[in-house]
Amino acid sequence: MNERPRLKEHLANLLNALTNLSPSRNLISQLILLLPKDLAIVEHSYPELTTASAKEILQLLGIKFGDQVRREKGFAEALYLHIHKTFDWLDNELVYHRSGQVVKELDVRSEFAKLLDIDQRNLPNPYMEWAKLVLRKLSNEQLGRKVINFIRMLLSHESIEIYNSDLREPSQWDTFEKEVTEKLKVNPAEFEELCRLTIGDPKLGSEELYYTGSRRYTESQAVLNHSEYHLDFVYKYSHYLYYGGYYGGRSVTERYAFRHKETLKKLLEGFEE
Amino acid sequence: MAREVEDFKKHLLNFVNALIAISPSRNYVTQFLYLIRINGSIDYRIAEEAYPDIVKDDYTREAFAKIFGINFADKITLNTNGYGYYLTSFIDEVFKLFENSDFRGKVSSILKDEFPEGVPNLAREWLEVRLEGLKSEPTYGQNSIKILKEVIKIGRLKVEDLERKLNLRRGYLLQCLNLLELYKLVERDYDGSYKPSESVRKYENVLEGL
Repeated sequence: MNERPRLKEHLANLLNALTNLSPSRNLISQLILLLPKDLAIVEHSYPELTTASAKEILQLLGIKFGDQVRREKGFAEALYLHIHKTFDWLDNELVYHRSGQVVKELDVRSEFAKLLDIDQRNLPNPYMEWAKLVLRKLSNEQLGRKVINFIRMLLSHESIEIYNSDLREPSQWDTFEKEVTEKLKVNPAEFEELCRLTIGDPKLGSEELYYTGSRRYTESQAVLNHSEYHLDFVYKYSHYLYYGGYYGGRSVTERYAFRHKETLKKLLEGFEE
Repeated sequence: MAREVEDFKKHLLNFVNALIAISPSRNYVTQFLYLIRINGSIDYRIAEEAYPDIVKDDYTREAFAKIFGINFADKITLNTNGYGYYLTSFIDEVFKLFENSDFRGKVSSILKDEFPEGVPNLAREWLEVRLEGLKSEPTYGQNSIKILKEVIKIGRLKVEDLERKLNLRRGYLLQCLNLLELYKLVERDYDGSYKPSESVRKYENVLEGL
């Protein structure tokens, strides 16, 4: 504590360590991020992590092996949360609520680059690395190019209204679904699968990004449902309007809004339409 | 099977090394963040003296505020939604993991070439670093160690007792106690007496070497 350490070196070390903990660089983190999974799938996909000695270590980290492999409360759960925060942080996407204001950290990468005296493009970006792997994997799966194009279609919108309590006509989402069905030639089951892979699967848990107003009279709320590979770029934004005083009612609008947009758009350039 | 074992070893080493590298005992940046976290806040003046290259330089200070969500005012605090706060919460979990002797034992047996002396207990190491830091403080260091040893010996002591036992002026004594509190080596109890902190109680033998 009394020494004059080289700050730059310590910052770079920290950044390297955080990047090495990310799922694109480390199989242990990758498994922790993707749980729960069936044991048979884990044994097939991660033979390195299912040897007897590996299982012993993973159990000590808080992974429970049964017919299903899942995270338990403890270190594995803490790492899972930490991976998400680091994804958002190093991709300038950390969004939260502070004293009634919604704050988005936009300068992390540029400030880091200045402190380290390097080009921003040379800074590690764990979300981008992970998304690249996921997009490659998705593009090689059954729905292949359809998933890639579905993501493109989603990201071409600023946001898409999915529900409006004051409207009786089809929502923007209904129109979007029709457009996807026609353009990508997908059936309803495939559309549902596309949504599960990208918009989120409630079974995988959700996270409240922020809310404004009070808990009783919430003005707005942003909730993220995690998706199978945790691309996690779509969140549901709800806005509430109260009328008629204490015994009055409220109108609700719900929209899908997008995060990590620039990063994903850049990555999608590398994939065929 | 041998290939799987080797592959796991490689990933485990990478994983453990990354966790060790973010520990406040090894990294100046996380040390600064963690000290703010465990204290709730730190006096600007104290931080400026202890971490001049972060706090004194306007440019670095402002960059740190944006990167880690730090509020620099008379008291320096972490924004509870900022990355610095999340990271320090994660460090708490890293400490718990490395305190687990089963975890250290199993990892050490797999990575015996990489860690011939075993995987470190990072919580204990963090205590050692705090004590070293305290000891090397030129004005208050040596006497702070004496005070800490006295508090450990008796279990809990009031300022008046310490004043009498160690024959130190009250003002000076309070500065030493502030330093001990900052490093979370002692805790103040409801009646104003001081007692050793939990980590000191847990690893009391670390003090024997001082």
